[in-house]
Amino acid sequence: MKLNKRYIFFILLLLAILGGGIIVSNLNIAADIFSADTLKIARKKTNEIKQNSVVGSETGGLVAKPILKPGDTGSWFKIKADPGTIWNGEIIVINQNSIESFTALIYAVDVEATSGGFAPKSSDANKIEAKWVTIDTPELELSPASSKIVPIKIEFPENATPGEHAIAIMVEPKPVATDASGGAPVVTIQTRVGIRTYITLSGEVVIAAEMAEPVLSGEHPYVIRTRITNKGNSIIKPNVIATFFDQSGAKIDTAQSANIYEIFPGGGADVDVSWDYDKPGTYKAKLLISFADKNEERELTINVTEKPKEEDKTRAVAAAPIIVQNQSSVPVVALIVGAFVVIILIGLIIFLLLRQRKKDITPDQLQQLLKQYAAQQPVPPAPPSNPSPPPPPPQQKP
Amino acid sequence: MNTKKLKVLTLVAAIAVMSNIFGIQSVFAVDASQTVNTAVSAGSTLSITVPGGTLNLSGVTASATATGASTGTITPITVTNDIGTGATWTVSSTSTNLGLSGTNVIQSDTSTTGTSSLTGDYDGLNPQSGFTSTGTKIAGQFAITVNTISLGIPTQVNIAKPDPAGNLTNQSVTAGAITINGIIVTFNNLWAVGEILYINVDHFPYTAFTATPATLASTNGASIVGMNLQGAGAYSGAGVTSSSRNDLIAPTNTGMGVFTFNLGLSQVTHKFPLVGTYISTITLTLI
Repeated sequence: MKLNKRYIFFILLLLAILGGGIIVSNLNIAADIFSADTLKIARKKTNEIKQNSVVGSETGGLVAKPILKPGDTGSWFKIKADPGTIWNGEIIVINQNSIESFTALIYAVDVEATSGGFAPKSSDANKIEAKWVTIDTPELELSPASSKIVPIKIEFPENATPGEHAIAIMVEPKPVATDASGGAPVVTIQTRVGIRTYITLSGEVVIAAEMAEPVLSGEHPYVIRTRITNKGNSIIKPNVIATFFDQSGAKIDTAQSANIYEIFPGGGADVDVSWDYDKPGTYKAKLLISFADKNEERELTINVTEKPKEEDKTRAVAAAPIIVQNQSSVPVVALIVGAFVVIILIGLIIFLLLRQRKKDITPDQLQQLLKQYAAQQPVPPAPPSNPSPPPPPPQQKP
Repeated sequence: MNTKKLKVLTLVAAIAVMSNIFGIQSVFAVDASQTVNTAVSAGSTLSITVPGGTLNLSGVTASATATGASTGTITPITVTNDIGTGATWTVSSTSTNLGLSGTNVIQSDTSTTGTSSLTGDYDGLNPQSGFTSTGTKIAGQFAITVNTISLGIPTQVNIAKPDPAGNLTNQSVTAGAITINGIIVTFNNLWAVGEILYINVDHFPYTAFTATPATLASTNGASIVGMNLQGAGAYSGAGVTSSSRNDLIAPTNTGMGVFTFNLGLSQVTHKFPLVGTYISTITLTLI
């Protein structure tokens, strides 16, 4: 196959652009690898707790992050294991304060199953899954702007329930005594940060949920609230779609839940669907809850009233629960657009190459074509033996 | 395109390909060692800060005939998320009971020479104190009777807690000190068997302590759209520390930047409380 120089140029240019991007990407990765603390972390590969310096600020506090393993993504531990096995990992505890030293307390706690968010229990709460965690260094001294690595070991019992579990590994400054001489009540404010640890234990996975009868909790917009309880052994993230019908049974609108939360096994969460509809009347809402590949349905009757006048609107909105629509994900859109552009480019190259291939001919074919061309050409008339002389130049008029 | 240009482009492409190969190799090398997180850079952290370590609530306004309130606001609570992965995060909080400080606890005893010092804070658990809903005052008093001594220092005591069941517990004293519901009692060495120490305690429970998240804002221009400030509510639970309640949730792909919000606090106080300073701990958790 012969390639036109223009196409070679095009492909090389594309390679150069891609290569340039990869160079920049690699430089960024290198910057991460060789940044202040991670460089020293990479050099260290012992169980000794070493202190490394980091960039701090006067208002910084204690933070923690996981040292992820190949295959992990994001900023959490996601562990898949068999009951009866042991998992070993590490976290980095960082004092971001450039002036203060901290004594950091490191411990594991269970997560509240009924919160709707991800709410770790208090350090003095009873532990179930958190008992599986061993932290050899539960207390760390951290000088200003420094970090240390802490090994974490999780032993999964033989009789652990299959499915998904959640644990939080917490880091907080050791509390100091509160001055009780003031007279008025004093609240000591503690802050702590945590690392989400999602565990999937092998075995039979049960996905099941229960949806309570929906209730109406607001007007203009109408907010339908239902409580979903996780009855299985896996974390679910249910989605609720409401379809609205008028009295004749005609479908008039649909709405989707805005607040979609993870619900842990045994826990529950309130899920809201907001519907803004102005035309007064009686309507039926059919709610479809879906999680994994399962569906459940519920119904609710809604009496839509006259919408308040403009001057009353502010008051009505202020009284309604805070429902904020979840925005579409910009990074996902960017990825889709990027993927689309790449596909178009690749398609264009393939198209051009195929087109070029069709046009390519071998030297033998060329010679044959030339012969055919020559044979098809009419014989030109013989040139005259005595060509007539050129006409005389025009005479100048006197 | 002339030959010179073609050579230059070929060279650039070759460098790009080589860089790619070496770049991939370096990433594999890092992953294999399992020591460096390439997904989260050194600076990519999630942090929470609050001004100061304590908050003074307003003075208790309760009297012998009416309940009162004590209020305050933690402001601002600052969350900084520069992880950049779009991962969801939650701010939640727990609270302990507002218990009377040990240094304020009134004590009395039947001993002529024995004394004790009290530190720590009453955890608000058994027994109750103040008034019941029917208006009957419950004595928040422990009666600690010395059972055994060694060189004048109590080694074992009986503790009577005026709970509804009238339970009596027997506890050992270690190195002259014992902790009773958060209050640390330290005895001197002049006690005799049968002598009794009385300490009066009181508390305001976290089940009457309401948190109200408000005024979510961004300090660096980041969008707050999609972030869910949770509604007001009292803490719940039955332990020394309450269950967690969510205050602010940033769903996936929201909450990337620096944000502030306030947490309003309001404690209902019962009638005729014991005089003294009441202390509790609120723990704000970011995860």
